[in-house]
Amino acid sequence: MGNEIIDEIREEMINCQTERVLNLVPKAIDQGIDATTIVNQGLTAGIRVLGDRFEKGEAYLPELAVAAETMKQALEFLEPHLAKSQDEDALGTIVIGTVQGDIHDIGKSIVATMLTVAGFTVYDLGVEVTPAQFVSKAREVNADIIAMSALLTTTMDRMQETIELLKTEKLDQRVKIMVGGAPVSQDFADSIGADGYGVDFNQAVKIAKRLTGATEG
Amino acid sequence: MTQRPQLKMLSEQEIQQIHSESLSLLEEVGMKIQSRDALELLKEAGASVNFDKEHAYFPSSLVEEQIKHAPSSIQLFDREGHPAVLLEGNQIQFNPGSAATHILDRETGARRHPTVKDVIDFARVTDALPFIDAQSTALIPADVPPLLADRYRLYLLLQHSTKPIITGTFALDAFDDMKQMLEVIAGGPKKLRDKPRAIFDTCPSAPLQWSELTVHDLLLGAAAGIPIELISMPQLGATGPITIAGSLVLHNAESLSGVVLTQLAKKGSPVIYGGSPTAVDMQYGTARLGAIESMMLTCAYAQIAKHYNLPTHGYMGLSDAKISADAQVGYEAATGFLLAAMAGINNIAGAGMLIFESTQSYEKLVIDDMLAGMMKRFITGVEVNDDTLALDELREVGTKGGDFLRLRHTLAWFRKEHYMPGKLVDRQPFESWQSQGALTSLDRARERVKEILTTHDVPKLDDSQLQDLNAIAKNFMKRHKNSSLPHGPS
Repeated sequence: MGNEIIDEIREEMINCQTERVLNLVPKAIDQGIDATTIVNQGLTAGIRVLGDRFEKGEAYLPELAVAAETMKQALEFLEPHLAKSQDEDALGTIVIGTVQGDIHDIGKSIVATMLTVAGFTVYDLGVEVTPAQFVSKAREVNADIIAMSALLTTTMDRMQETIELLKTEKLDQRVKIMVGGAPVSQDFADSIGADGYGVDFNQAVKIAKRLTGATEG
Repeated sequence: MTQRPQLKMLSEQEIQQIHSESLSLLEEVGMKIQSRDALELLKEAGASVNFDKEHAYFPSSLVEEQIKHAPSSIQLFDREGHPAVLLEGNQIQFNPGSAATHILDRETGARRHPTVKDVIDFARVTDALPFIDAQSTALIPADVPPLLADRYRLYLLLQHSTKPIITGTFALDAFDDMKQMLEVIAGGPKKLRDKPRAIFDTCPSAPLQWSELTVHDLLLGAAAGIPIELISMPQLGATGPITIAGSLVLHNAESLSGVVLTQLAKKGSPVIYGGSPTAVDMQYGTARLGAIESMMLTCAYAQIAKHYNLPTHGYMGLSDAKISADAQVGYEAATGFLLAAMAGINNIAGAGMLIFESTQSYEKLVIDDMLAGMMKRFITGVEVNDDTLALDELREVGTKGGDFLRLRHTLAWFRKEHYMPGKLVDRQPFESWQSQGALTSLDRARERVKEILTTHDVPKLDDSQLQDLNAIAKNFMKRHKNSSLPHGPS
């Protein structure tokens, strides 16, 4: 069948064996397996199993975080092989980051992990991301959503600047905006014209699915 | 070695003082003992005995000598004969508070008498709980004649749980029936001696008395190699002095007299230094387990018992509140368990128990299991070594930035280093808590009890063992002119 190695990649993803996954992926390419197949049936399938276990309280954040990190590294290797063929099974593409002036990373990273686990293609731009960086990355990867995080009330305004830039660049019809972080509220999200706000990572995933039409509601 | 959090209530000098005062009390005042067998054993060992008055005076040298014979470690085995509960050193093990005359109904919360069905359900819930190490005969079923309830509970527990059992008797002819049932499970008297499946509680009556029934069980149990747990229970201000130190002298004297009796019955027989002291409330006259002074006395006698190298027991983690989960239950239970854990009390009895040791609660039982898990984590202390200091990780993240969540170190350690309390503890963000029905501790505990009763399977007792148990049950039922009991042998 030739898919043994794919099964192995999926299992090692589930076991959070980063090194083994990163060894297996090039071997799979050498065997002539399509990069999209490796991503969909190996990496993503594995991380979704972990996601299901997390829902049931059988897996926890560190497992998801390590798996998401493994995913990220595997995708870096696979990027040239994926060529232009977009990952068609993905629920959508999300650009995420903590806004300019803010170095708080962890909440945003957890949301990025959970979005990855849920099946989105996630580009995590890290911290101190400027409005221009958000918008240009969104254009480059044809993103469906820009997700912004802030922990400091003083940096919340950067969210609105990004939305305005999106309008200027005429991307606001195509790219939805999600915001989150401790000082952010639904009222604030509404006031700046964001499309979605989640109080925690569970809601963030729900809202991302709603905004991309992955689930009704 | 990791430093264990350890509570000390008394200085070495204070222990010595309480020790010598209790010896003087035993020598000069002595104990009333309603047992000719016990009095004869004591006389033979050199005690001064008055058979008419059923009274014995213990020479200090006799007490000092006999303490040395008692073992410092007791291993209990489960129904299948695997090591299960270890009572030694600062090891902590948990079991439900025993012999409740009432239970809070798990549907309505109403206080009522327990039934045989409750005994079975309670045993199954206890069997399923990961941090409750042993069963106790926690309930007195009201649908069984009072004089048969003791042995009938054991008959039920042996069928509906595999965990070791803490038990006791209500009638003189019960011990032998119960020993026979335990022998069926162990495979004979010798195997029961080698691998004890149960502990028998025996309670002196404060001040300074042993009733016929308790001494009877104590002597027979010790002779059979069944661990005897001594439960001295002075009530501060009523059957014991109002002061903790005074009641400690009484408690220690009674306990040491029990140790002497077990060792005279059989040298080297396993005995646990326990207790159930209470503080008398001077407004209501109630005997409070949840009082801080009761807990102080328990922690102090445990320290004295450790001085003698004896395994310890304590009634801790009980509450005197009237409902299964409110603030009083929470603070009394948590305080008791934490102090007991820090005092290194080996056998911590009290899970589930409310209202002056009268009323059991399914919901408190499962909450206490969660607390027991916390305590077992707590006493392992802070592990400090190269790996736990996370030196590489601190340097890596400190230099490159990012977080610790995605590190392998976190993955490797989070389960070992952190106790996961499960769904009983509300750890959700406000909005999810609210959208999932804004459940209280009581709601969550009820849910957990229901879940266990629906899903937990207890391995069936071997057919031939069940036949033998049934034969013993039929025998004691016949002796007591009883032809049928709920869930009994047909």
